[in-house]
Amino acid sequence: MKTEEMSEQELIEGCIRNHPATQERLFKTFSGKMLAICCRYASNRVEAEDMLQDGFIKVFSKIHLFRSQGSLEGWIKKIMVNTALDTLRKNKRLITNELDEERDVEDFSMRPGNQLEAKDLIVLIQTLPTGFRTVFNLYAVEGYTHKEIGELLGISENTSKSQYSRARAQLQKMLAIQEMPNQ
Amino acid sequence: MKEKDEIADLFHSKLSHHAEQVDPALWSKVQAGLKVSSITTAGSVAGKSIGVVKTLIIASGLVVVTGTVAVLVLNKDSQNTQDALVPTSQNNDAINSQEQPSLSSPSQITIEAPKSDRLTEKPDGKELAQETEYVNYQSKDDELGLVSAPHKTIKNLPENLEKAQPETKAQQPRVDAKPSTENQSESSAASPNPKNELSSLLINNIPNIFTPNSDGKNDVFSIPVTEGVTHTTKIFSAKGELVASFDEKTNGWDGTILGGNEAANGTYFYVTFVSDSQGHEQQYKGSIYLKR
Repeated sequence: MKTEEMSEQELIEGCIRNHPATQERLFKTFSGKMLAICCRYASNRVEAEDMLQDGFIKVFSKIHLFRSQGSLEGWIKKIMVNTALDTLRKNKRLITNELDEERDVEDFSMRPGNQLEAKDLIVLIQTLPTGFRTVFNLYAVEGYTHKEIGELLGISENTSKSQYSRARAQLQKMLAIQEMPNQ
Repeated sequence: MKEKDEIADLFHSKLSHHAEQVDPALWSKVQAGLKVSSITTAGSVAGKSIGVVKTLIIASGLVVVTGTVAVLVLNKDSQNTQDALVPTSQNNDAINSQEQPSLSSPSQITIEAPKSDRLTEKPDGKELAQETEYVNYQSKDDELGLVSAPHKTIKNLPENLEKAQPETKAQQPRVDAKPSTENQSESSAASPNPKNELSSLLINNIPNIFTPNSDGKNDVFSIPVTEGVTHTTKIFSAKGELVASFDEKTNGWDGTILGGNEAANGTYFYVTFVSDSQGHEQQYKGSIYLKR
């Protein structure tokens, strides 16, 4: 089942031909990472899986449009992010400008010290209000600029910045609970 | 040029390559979704092969239903062009595309589209352009209350985020025909049919009532514009006095009038100018009932 057996090109061509086994292979190759992305945008696992599912359906129905200038993974990733945003939008959680109010910072029990793992961080992210979470993900993890985020979400660049810094502050507070008592 | 940001670094380093365990059952769900979508793909092939190029994609749900019932009206489309026949999909992609699998059968399915039904999608970004990475998907269907398979909501977008303005959307039936633009490639995304655009400026109908009583529901009257779309909106009282104005950067109208007092219950009128970055504009007028 290792993907090395099949080159990326073959993978793509197989998917273009709607070859089920190849599609499945592509899914298995990327779904783990993509689900991790969805988890960051979704507020829970179920929503994340829905995003993943929608995203892959888009991937398969659009794969003939993929051009190999970029990496396949990067392309799929972008689809996932956009699908995630669409889902949030659909659920009407992204349409206001001042995205949501701040939620109380909850007390979090996590592993001590610097041993925070990805799963812990995802949990932290998921406690953020949707607007914060979205902007934080796009900026910090995906590496978009505030300008791009503003355009993507239909908010101003400054809103994106302020959402980000508030999200960041909130995360920092939560992290500080176990990590840096001096903060 | 980002400043140093340890929090961002921490999350980026731990999460940007993180993978989650995927439940194998998810694959079968995806597969199920794909079956539905392949039907529409087939439809699109028909569209292409006939050479009718339309940009309208009918909601897949519809496609499935009407597609099977409304059978092959193949010949028709040569004549009745625009309105009546709506091939179901992104014909445009079609062109540049490699062969499409699974189209085996219905190479001739065309669908007679009743004018009312559609939810559509316009594949204007059909070419992923070089920046394939910038695929941008919009899904709007739900706004019209139509439910359908996910793929119908697809749309790609081109190169940069600027262009990534959503142009898909529910469209007026009469607007959908668009000349074939196969070779236009990504430029087509930048120069969409303006008519199509108008209806895509809003993601939803403008509400006609709101209840600014701080109960968390409908406390603010705002114009549900598509992302990236700007608007300026003025609110007038029944006497014609300007009582408030706002735009996409502000939250909407919370029921206070200029000067800070609460507006009384009753009907108010709004005028809003909506425009997108590509210069498409639309003005909407209407009334909004305020009830606390």
